[in-house]
Amino acid sequence: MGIVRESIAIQDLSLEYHDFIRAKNTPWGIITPFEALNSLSLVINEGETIALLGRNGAGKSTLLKCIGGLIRPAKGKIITNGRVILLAGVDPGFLPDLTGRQNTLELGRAYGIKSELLNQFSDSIEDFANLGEAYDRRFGGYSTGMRGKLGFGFITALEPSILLIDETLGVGDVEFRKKAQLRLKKFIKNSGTVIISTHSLGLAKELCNRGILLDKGKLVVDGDISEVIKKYTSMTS
Amino acid sequence: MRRIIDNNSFYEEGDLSSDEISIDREREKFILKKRLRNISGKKRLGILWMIMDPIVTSMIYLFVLTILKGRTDPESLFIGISTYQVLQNSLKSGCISIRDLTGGFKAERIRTKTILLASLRYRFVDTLATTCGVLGVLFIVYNVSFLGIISLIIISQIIGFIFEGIGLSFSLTMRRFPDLFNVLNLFLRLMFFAGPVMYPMVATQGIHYQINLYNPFTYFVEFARYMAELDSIMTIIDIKIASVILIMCIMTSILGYYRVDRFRWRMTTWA
Repeated sequence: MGIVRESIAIQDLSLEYHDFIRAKNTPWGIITPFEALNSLSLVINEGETIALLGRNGAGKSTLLKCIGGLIRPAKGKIITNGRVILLAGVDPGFLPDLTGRQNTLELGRAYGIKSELLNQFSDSIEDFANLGEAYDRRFGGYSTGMRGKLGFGFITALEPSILLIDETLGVGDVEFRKKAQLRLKKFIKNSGTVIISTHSLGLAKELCNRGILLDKGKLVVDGDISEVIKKYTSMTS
Repeated sequence: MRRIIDNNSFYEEGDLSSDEISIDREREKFILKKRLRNISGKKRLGILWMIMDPIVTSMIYLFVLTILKGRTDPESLFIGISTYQVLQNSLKSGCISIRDLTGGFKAERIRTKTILLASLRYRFVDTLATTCGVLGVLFIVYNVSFLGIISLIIISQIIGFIFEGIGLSFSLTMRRFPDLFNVLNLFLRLMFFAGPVMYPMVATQGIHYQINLYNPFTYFVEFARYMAELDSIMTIIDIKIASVILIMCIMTSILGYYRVDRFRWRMTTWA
């Protein structure tokens, strides 16, 4: 049996957003704190694939952003080992005036793809996204589905140690979703750590071995995926 | 790389590998290109507009002032307008820079140092573009000395870097109170007319002169005029006042650069 390495450790994590609110009784506006995460503690090991479940506003996206180092916790600590990539929405930072190919080449270099592997990297994304001649058209003119294919293809081609996916697998047509799942399975097989925030229970059951259920920023249950789905279903029905 | 994220900061343990350093350099280049592309957009002349803008603005004011006053000092005006444009661009850029927390990288957090270095590169290019057209006009049309031209290049770059830092030091307050950005715009507009932009300090008198002695821009622009052998008060300034003002500017600027990571981290949860 191999040694299990800790990939992500979350200790007593709380997070507050600060919202500007203007109302009748506060015409100049006031800054109001809003608690999005409340005292979360978790340990995620290398190679685990986790489904992050919860209703809208439960704190799933906030937790992913926090693990990705994009937002500041109010309290607690997160320790991550290895490169963390967050696929939120469908865009890793593509420039609208460049073509799909130009974007993958320019942005690929900036995401750490070595010069000698850039063409191969771009070709693999072209092959996955299957955009045809649109790959050499302006990214700004792409439909949401096309952007999703390119974005997903790009990010999963980076092969990070920790991949965080926020509701992105729903983009594109049925054929793309199948391809995306296959690509993700391949990534998981290569022992990366993956956290998927999703509302698709079928996808969660198929891809993940562990589930985490959040509600109003608090951890409700963390365990085997079937149990967590059961709990989530009972909570929402 | 082990990364630790808490309320105080986002930090990484250990030294960066050579691969990570080269990725950061690629990112700096990418951010610089992105900012330049944002300026050029779909405009056919692209970033040439950065060069043409101060020349055309100077010519408009030269025309207006010639009509109104009957005489004006075109070299002085060209130097004033181009350096003031550098000041405005850098101050505003510093004030709004932390609005873009990601540098355009939406899938991965990039180091603040990378964003900062990209901003400095951009500042250098933007300042050079803003002044180079005017430099050409001064050198070819008005026969300003080579030393004057070189001094203007250096002074403009110094203004750019100092005022970008000053902008950074106010960036958090500006983000908290966006109204201040409107105040800044109005103040910059006022100082365009009240400061020694379109005319040298020797053209001012009384309270107008006294107030401008406390305007940091005065010392930069008057020094540029002095080096270009134009009318300037550089030989008669009070060194003490000038030193205090310039040291304050430099200190505020350094503080801005130094604190940008903390500012960036603090405002990530401001909706």
